[in-house]
Parts: sequence; structure tokens; C-alpha cells
Amino acid sequence: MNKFLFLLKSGIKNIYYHRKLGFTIFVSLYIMLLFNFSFLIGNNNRVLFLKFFEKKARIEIILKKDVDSELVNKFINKIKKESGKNISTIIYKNSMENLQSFLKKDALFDKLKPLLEENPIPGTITLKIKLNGATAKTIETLVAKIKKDAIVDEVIWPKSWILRIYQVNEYLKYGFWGAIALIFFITYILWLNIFKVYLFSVKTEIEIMETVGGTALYIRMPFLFESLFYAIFAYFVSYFTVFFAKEKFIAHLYPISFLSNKDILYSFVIMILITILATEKAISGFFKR
Amino acid sequence: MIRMKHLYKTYLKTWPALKDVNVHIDNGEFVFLTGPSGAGKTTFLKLLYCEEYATRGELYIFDQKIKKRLSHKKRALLRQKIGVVFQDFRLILHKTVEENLALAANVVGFSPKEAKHRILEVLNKMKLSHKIKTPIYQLSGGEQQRVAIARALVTHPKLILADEPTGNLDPDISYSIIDTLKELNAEGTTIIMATHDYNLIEKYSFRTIKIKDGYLYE
Repeated sequence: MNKFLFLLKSGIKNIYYHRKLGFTIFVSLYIMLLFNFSFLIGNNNRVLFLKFFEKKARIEIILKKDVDSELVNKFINKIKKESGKNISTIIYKNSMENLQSFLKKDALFDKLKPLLEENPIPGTITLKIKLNGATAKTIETLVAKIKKDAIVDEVIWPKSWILRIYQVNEYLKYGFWGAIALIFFITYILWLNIFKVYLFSVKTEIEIMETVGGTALYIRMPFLFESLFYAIFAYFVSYFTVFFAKEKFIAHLYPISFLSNKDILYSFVIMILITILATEKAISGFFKR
Repeated sequence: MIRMKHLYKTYLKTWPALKDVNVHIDNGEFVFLTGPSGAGKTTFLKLLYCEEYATRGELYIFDQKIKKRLSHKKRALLRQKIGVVFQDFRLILHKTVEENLALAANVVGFSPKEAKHRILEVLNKMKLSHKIKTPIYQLSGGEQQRVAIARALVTHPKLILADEPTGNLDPDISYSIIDTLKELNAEGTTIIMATHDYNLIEKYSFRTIKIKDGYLYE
């Protein structure tokens, strides 16, 4: 315990003694973490991309003529059951409503009305798709089931357009995660090399610790405490920078989702692991003999 | 305490630094290791604190046979029993005298209280207790060398290896440092000191081992 406290104290003192080099380490990690937080926020806001296209994402169902309203109600209930959370709104218009709105479009149509023996326009159901909740597959399955129903004459939906949106969304997802992984990897390499350079400047210090009989763990500990301090400090400063930027600037322009608790916890744990691994790898280079 | 039998040390496989060394140093001896620059004095000392390992032959330190290569932990444990003083002092310049000494005191597991007590004790012996909070870079060469000796002493070592500790110092300071080492030797610590200052060797009548071209002569 005495040794541990002494090493902790040495680590804290080292932060002051090595403050100039420590600043470089801090800044590099701070920038890397800013990138990572931005990508994580970007990934969390992919929903905005989907919401942007949601207005046009709808399925138009043209019913057969003279369908009983009871059958239509049953059909709507069936859709509600099967679609789950994939559909946000269901709008039903019977044949009369559709005719009325058709006639309103032009005065000439209204003059032609007496010539009609019967209403030629069928009833329709419009389903508004929730792009965020659904997937391309669930929508395709739903459309296939709707088509099979006896009261349905035709289903019109922008299949290729919706599939492309989902494809782009998938690319975005992989892009964000790829970028996050890449940044963490770069952080590891960068941290490792900066720390190697930093340790080279304190090589004499390490040699002295070895000469007086310091074990590998004894020598490592103050440097590990020191690097952990830089890492934790850089983490919190970059987190608050992103938080401040979101609160003061972006949130006023557009409501966006911030980092989730999971994001904060996982990124923190990964960063701590990277710090320990890179410091350990950098410092082990000095114990080759 | 130290035994070397037919010991060879060769650098880069072709450059012999020590050749067929046979020597025995007992507990409590004060030994001068002398010879011209590049004769192998430093290599001799480096073998003793396991900075280098023998190419061939046998080496015993504290009756423990030193194999070709020790693990880092075993080497550290061995070094904790040895105090090493270098010509260039090898102190951490930005740290205070106390911090430099605490580094060694904590290695051997002294509690903070014990460490502080021991540090004051050795600094008193070195007449440096008033400089305890002074950073090393503010000390003179002689004071720095005395701090280096104090650091070597702080762990109660059985053996002190001094590699030209007076090399960069004035004759007066050199004599005072040898006197300090002599006092330590009188208390039972074995001292091996490398030097090529023949005035010092002549002044003190200690056992002298000469090294020339890698061979040892007495």
C-alpha cells in the first residue's frame, strides 16, 4: 500500500514535471476524442436522415369496387396488427370521398358528374411508413401480405426508392462505425508513438529507477498513472466541448440526439484500455534487455 | 561475496572487454579498480550490477550464481542490495534531493515514515540535510555526487559500486568523498571503486586491482 501510494504520488508529480510533453499528449487525445464523439453523435442521428424522407414514404392501397365498409375495417385492423410500429398513420377514404375530391380538382369534372351512371373511383387506404422503425424487409413482407387480401385491387409503393434509402442508411451506419473504429485505432498508434517519444525523453529517469532496483511494475506505475490522468482529463474536456457545442449552437438550429449513456460508458472504457495498452507497449520497449 | 572464475566478456562477439578474469572479493573489503580508459573497469562493474552479462565463465554475487540472463524481477531484487554511484551522478535533475532518495527508499519497501527517517539519516551523514528540498540542478558537482552516494546508501546496501565517482571533481572534494566511502567501509559495507586517479590510490592503502587490455592484475 505504501509503495502504491508513493507511486501514485510520483505519477501526480510527474504530471507537473512533464507538463510540456503532457500537453502534447493531452491535445492529440483531445482531438481524437472530439472526432470520435462527433461520429458517435452522427451515428445516433441517422434517424434524422430517415425522418427527412419519411413524408414521401407511403403505401397506397387501391381497394376493389363496392367493398363493404365492415370488410375494410377488418382489413385495417389486420394491417395494424401485422405492421406493428412500422406504420405511423392509416388514412381510409371510401369511393365517395375519393370521387368528391376528384371532382373538386376541376370545374369541368363537376359538369361531367350527371353523365356518370355509377361511381368509377374505388376506395383507397394510405399507409404512412415509419422509416426509422421499419426495415426494407418488413415493408416488403407487409406489402406482399396486403396484395394477397381479397379486397385489394392494387398496391402502389416506391419500392426502389425506399430500398435505396435503407441502403444509404446502412452505408451510413457502417461508415460511422468504421470511422469510430479507425479513430480508436489511430488513437492507439498515435498514443503509442507519442508516449514512446515522451518516454525517450525520460529514459534517464527510467534507467535510474532500474539502477536503484525498481521492478518493471514499480517503474511502469507512475507513467501509467500519468498517462491515465491525461486520458481521463482529455476525455472529460472533449466530452464537455461536444456537450457545450450541442447545447449552445447546434440544438438551437436543429434538435439532435446527443451521446447515450452507453456511448459515454463504452467510449470511456475503450479509451482507458487504449491508454493502458499503448502505455504498456511503449514502456515495455525500455525493458528489452 | 564476489567471485569470478575464468570470466570473459565480449562485445559484439569480437570485441573482448574482459579476458579470463579470476577474482575473489570478501565482505567488508575496499577495492580500487584501476586501469587506463577503455581497459574494462566499467564493464567489470556493469557485470556486478547485472547491466551486462558474462559471455563465458562463472560469476557469483552474494554467493548467488549469476546466470547468462536474469529475469527483470531477479535483477531488480539483486540491485536492491547494491548501491551504485556513477561518475555522471545519474540523478533526476528536476526532482529534489528528497525525491531522488525516496525513489530508492521506496523500491525496497520503506514506509513513508521510515523512508523519511532513513533519508535524513544518510543526508546527515553526507552533511546535506539542509539541502533536502533543493532540486538537484541547484546543487554543485560535489553536492550532487554526495547525493548520488546518499542514494546508494539509503537502502542499506551490502555492496557499493562506484564508477569513477571523483572523475569530475576537485581534489579536495574527491578526498572528502573517499573519506565518506571509507567511513561506510568501516561500518562493514563492501566498496568497489573504479578510478584512474593514481594520486588517490597512492594516498589510500586499499587493495588495488588493475585492469589492462581486459586482463586483471593484482
